Amino acid sequence: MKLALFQQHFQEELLTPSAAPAGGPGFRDLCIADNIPVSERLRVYQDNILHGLSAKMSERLPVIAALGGDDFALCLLRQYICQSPPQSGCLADYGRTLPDFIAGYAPAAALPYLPDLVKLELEICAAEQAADDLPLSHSDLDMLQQNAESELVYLPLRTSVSLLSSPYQIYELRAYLLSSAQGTEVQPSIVPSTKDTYVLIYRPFLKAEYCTLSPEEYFLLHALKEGVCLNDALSKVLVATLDFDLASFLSANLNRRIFARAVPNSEE
Amino acid sequence: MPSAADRHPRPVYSADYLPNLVGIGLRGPHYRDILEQKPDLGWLEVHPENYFGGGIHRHFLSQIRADYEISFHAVGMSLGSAHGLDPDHLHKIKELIDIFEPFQLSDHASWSATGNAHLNDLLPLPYTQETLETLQQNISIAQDYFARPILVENPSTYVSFHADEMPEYELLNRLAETTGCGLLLDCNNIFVQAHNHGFDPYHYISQIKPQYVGEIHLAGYSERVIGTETLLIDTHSKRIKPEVWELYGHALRHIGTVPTLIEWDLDLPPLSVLMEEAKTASEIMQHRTNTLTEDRL
Repeated sequence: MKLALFQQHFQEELLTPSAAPAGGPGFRDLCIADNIPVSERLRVYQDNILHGLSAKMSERLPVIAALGGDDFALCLLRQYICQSPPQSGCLADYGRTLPDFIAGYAPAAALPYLPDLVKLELEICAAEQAADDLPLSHSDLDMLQQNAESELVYLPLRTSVSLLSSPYQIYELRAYLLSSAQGTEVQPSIVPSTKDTYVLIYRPFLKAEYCTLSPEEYFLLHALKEGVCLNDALSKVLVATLDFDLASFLSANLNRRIFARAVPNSEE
Repeated sequence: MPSAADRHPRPVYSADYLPNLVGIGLRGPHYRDILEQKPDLGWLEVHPENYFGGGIHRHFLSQIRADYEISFHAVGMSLGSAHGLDPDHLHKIKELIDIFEPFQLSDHASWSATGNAHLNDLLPLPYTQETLETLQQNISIAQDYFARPILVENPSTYVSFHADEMPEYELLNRLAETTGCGLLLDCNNIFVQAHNHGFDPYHYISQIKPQYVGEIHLAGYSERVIGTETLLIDTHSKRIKPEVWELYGHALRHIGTVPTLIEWDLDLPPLSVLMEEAKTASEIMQHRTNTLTEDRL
């Protein structure tokens, strides 16, 4: 059997242990049998992959176990791993499709806010691992505004920054679920609201943080993240509200270190 | 065109080789202890995959690198993959090499990736001519990309295959001979495999060509009882067993002294426990050096 096919069958054996490739020998027939059954020998690899990875993900995404218990979390994650195994050796990026999987996962049907909570967790993990780009300082911004035509000021966001919106109170829910005071505090509403919650995830220094935003702040930051210049982004926000305080917005977010300092163009 | 072995000549692993000392694996819970205590260690090993991107891990590695030589022990290149290597993975490792300048770079004679998945384990290969050629090709691609030789480690395995055409030590010797790569000999893996597959670990080591070995790994294994049989599992979660220390002594007698690593990944104990294991390895290495000196006199 060619090596590529051997590896494909081995993968199927590990991720779907009952599978027997059509038209060829079962993978177990390729293994040397002795006093220890081949199935027990292969179980070492299945445990390493499924148990090891689901335990690691459960640690990264504690809200799943906090909501449904350890068994629920491990079962959900094992099924996800079998259905959508990692695609690269960089496991920090793994799990981007997990919220969609949970949305269609029948045992989680009673937890409709779980996909958005997991999205928040994943963004926090991504922020922790994001590249170490430089933040824009107050003086950098002053210089930028002096040197550029005001309508052409661009404020790209750092790679650690992401934005989320949800009909659920995901900010309060996560804080509640992971709080040691759980049970003594008032549980946040789990009923979807007509007004979305807007969340900013960022990493000012080494640790990721997150906070809620007003709709105007969210849409302005979203436009900046999309590469829209400040003036155009602002004009869109001003359509909805006339009393938006740009100076306070800029100051607060410079303090959060969310804007990226542009890398000088080496050709200039 | 020069051969792969000529393009990346293997360093001469002589007794005065710079970090010819004992090192330990650097793991997150020990960052602060290492920085504060600055323990007397020859070097530290890291998995480069843990430092892709930025943030707190890279921050601590930068600080620690100022005080210690480091080696990169990759776990995700999938050198045995029939689908070739992931260029993005190589690129990320190269970026780290340029920043941290490790004295050694290694990965395993195993596979993890197919065309549609990357499994988080070091999976076994059938030891066939096709596997040998696949490894040769992938190792050569990696060495050309990094512009340096790498070390290739013998994995722990729990299954072997009817298709095997050669013993593992022969495959490793031939890889080193044809690609110019060095070998990373994991004594614990040899012991685990010897038990699981029923061969003599001392014979295995005696068949490895000493001039190819650039590093040795030591770790602790666990036992899984299955009926009346026991399978040994390479968990890196325990102290090194006496029989593995014995095998290490034998390896040093056969190979000479080379940088040696204490690996511990699961159920990580306090740093002091790893230091005790490192001290034992140093003593065995020193004993080997003394014996060699006496023999020469």
